[in-house]
Amino acid sequence: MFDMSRNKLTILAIAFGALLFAAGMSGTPAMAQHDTHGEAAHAEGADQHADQHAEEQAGDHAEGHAEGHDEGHDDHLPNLLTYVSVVTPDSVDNILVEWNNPIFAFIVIILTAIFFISLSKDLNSRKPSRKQMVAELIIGYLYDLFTQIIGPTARRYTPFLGSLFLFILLNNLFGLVPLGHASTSAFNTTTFALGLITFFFVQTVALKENGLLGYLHHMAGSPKTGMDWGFSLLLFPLHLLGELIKPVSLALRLFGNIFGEEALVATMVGLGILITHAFVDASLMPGIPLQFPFYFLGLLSSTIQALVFTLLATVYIALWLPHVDHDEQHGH
Amino acid sequence: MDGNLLGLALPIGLGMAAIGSGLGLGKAIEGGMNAMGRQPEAIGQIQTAMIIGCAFIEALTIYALVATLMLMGKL
Repeated sequence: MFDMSRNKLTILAIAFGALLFAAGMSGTPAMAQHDTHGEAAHAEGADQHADQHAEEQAGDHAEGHAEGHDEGHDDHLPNLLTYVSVVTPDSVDNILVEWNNPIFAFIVIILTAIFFISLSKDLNSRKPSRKQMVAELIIGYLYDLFTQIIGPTARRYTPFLGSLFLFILLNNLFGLVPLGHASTSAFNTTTFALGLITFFFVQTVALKENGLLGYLHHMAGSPKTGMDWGFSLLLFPLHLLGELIKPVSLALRLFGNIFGEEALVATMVGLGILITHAFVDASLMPGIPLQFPFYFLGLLSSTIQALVFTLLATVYIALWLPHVDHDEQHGH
Repeated sequence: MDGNLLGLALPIGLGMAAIGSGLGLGKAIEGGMNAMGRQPEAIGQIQTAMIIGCAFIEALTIYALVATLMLMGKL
């Protein structure tokens, strides 16, 4: 049985490698056009001009949708929508490019929903099917993770935190898929929204668990003696500020990591094209896949960042919970 | 003139942030590894705490990176 699964694993690994390779290559032609287009201004070696209008348009769109940067340097590889927008009329183009991140987030959401709904279709506790085992494995892992931090009440928060984890993880990984795009690489459309959701969830939990008075007491630094009450005037604004900064820091961390990773891959694709174009004078020549090793880095950082975002959200919840739970946990 | 100065300042600032958080990460992971070696049965908990700590340390470099990306448009 193990041998069989090992064979399957090998095939899976090869297929995955091919997929990653294709991911880099899929971006190559449009990037090539774009690259020579940009380089022609100041490099004497690159004198090929973009001869296909469509390809140039694709390159320009990749430039145009760069989140929040007017100057527009190569931040992302062209994705599915960049190619689609070549075919569609101009009025649709703008919508596609502007709504790039939400569209990809929705694609991921729909795929995930279909996957998990099909997993949870016929649940049977006596004789679990294979699908059910997969679902239980994922949920069990997440549940254990949150229990380590929050304690026995973690089951209450697992639905929210678990969906957060899966959403971020799958969105991050979608950036490595050929023609895909990680919607988490945009601050003001995705990651800040995730931070806001986390903020409201944590505050709701805090109010529910502590009550309004307990909430304010906690915000004032849980004063007990008279001197503490004196200091609470000082501590209250600090805690308030801390609560507001936490989600922003979460969002910035995720955005910075994923954006940096995508920019790194895009830069490496551009570099590979630059190198081939120094030797071969053809505008559609694919580049050297220099970006290939960085896909593995991307896999690693995608997983870690999803984990970190979720774990920190868990910690923020744990900080608000009444401290009785912690004593119970350490008691035995 | 302004653009030139920024072009010098951004990489240097990012590099300085990276040095600091690299040292910090090294210390954090050193402590984590020591703890794991001493108590292999608590690896799960130590790892979780270590990753959270690493995230906080790493965030400082990410802030520098975000600032760099924001200011890169002004080059």
